[in-house]
Amino acid sequence: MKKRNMSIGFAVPAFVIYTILLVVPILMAFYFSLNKWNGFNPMQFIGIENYINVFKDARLGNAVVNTTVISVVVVIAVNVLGLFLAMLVNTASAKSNIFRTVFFIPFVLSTVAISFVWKSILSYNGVLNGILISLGQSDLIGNWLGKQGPAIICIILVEIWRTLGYHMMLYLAALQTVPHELYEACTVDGGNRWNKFRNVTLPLIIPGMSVSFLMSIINELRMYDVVKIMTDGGPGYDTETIVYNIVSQGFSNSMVGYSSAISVVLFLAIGAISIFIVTMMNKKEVEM
Amino acid sequence: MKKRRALIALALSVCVIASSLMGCGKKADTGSTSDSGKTKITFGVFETDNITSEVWQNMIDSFQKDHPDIEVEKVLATGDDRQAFWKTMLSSGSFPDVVIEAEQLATMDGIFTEVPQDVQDLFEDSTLCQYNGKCITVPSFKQYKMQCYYNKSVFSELNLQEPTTWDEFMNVCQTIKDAGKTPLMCGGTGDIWATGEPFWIAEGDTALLAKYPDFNKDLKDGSNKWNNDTTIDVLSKWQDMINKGYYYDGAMSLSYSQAAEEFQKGTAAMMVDGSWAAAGFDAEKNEDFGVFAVPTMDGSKLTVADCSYWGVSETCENKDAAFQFIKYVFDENPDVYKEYLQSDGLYSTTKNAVTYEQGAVTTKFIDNIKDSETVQEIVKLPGENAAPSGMQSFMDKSFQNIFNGADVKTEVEGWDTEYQRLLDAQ
Repeated sequence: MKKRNMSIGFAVPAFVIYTILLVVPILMAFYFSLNKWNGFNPMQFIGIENYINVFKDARLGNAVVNTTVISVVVVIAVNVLGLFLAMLVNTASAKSNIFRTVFFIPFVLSTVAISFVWKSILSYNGVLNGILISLGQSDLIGNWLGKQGPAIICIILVEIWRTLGYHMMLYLAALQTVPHELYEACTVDGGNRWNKFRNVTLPLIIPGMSVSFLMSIINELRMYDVVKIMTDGGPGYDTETIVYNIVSQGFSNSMVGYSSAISVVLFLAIGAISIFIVTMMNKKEVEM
Repeated sequence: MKKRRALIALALSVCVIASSLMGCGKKADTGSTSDSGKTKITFGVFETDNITSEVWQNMIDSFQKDHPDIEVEKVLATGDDRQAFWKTMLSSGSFPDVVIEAEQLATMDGIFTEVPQDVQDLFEDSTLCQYNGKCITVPSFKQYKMQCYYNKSVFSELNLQEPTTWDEFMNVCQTIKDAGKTPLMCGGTGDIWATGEPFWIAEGDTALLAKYPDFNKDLKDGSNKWNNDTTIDVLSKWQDMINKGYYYDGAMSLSYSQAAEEFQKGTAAMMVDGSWAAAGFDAEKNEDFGVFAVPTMDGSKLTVADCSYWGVSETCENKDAAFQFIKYVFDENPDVYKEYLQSDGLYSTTKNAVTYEQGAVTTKFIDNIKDSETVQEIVKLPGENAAPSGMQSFMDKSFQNIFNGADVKTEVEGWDTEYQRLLDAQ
């Protein structure tokens, strides 16, 4: 009994912090979402009207499409490339530590700082176009951040570059849990490289893969800072993401109630996707 | 021993919670008195290349020297969306006591306190405005917008004169284009306003206000719409200019600062910009650039000038000190007001007009509009008929869409929808 009380005592601090910093704001956002509120004057209860408007908002629909495109491409790229790099680094010598550091550095740096750096590289009179001109390739210079297609591709590439190292490290950690004897057994059984990857590596790194997928999806669905600094959602609304839309509706448009409704929907969407991924990966783990 | 360890761990956990929650209070402790026992007020400002940190600090230092019992703490707004920044401060309970550019926030009830009559009396009656029948802001300056700056050497090389009609302006653009040069520069990424807002203010606001003098009121009572022939005509002609290649190819990948820098380097021959650019040229004694009023499409003689406003927060604990600060800046020490105005090419709004020695470009800028009637920018009109917060940002994004080829009519239909949505929501 005494031991049980002690355990509860240790859990209380975490519970209090979690409740105050996470549960309470979520409940508050839900309450705000049922009101018409500009963030300052008294709220006016309007029931689910904000939620109805969420599903009729074309600008938000555009932000959902942009976020989905960015998320799908970045999630696939960072997981495939992250696993590939992790396997290279894992099999290389101790000197490969330098590569781990190099790949991981972008994730450690401030997102705001790297977004400014990339913005200056990609602007029309920036480094990239300067290099192309100096190489005599003036025909290739581009309006990278000023046109819809190139702008969203630039956002995707910067996001991949920024997060790749983190996912490489997640996969590396997972790879290092795979017992070497299993590879030897596979070799004895006549297995080639693909057999080793398919029948040894993949089944044993599924838990790490789940974490990597989940983290990348959550990160991309919450994307804001890179877009805000590099393009400010532009040109027009062409690179606007869901979170950028939430901030704009809440603070630029003084529609805190409505932006809270979008936040609640996004929260539920991320929750549902997370549960789906975890369930699917658990199933795969059992199957493999 | 085990029990002791557990107690230490528990105590450390409590410390972690306490330190984590220290920043969670509703209001940052700005305090009504400083450590030295002085009355303290906070002053929310933003800085630009012209209105620098030094301008604000000189203002504060000068006031504190003459009013040693009051301490002023500067609160700097960061980012390009200053209204959003102040709203964030408002939501977090850290809103400064005195705020510049208060006109948008003043449309929300209860943010600013009523201005005492003796403070109102300092300003020109025509510049004062009311919200719900109360004067809650003071006009800090008048700023003229937008004219066309040009590279004198390009004009001289191509034997061009400053255009005085829309057709002449188009001829100038075409001549520059035919000579293999870029006629116009604008900004884009990161500074969304810099794409279409300068042109819209020079042509759209003037055309609409020439035809519908009470456009803001008409919009609000539903008797007029953004989607009208004048708006469509102005934006179609602008898109036509873009399609003809009058604008710099990479403009949308440049911030405002980069665009201004490229213009000064000679990448484009002209740039539509505000009076602050004239102040910038004068500060550098740069006489390589001239300026002309962008000829209006309908030939009307209107020019846009905005008044900017300061407000004192309703929650300010030292309102007397805050208004004392305002009286000091706008009345007691003309040198302070003069430095503020001169830094950005601004004009006084006080009954005792404060003037300053203008440089060549600013003098020309003012000379260009001496016969024009001054009107207020539509989306920045203060008072009862103010446009809803967020409309400016929406239009700026729409200008970018039009720049990139979107259908003008569809875009402008969206303006009416968004205007009504914002109005209903706020």
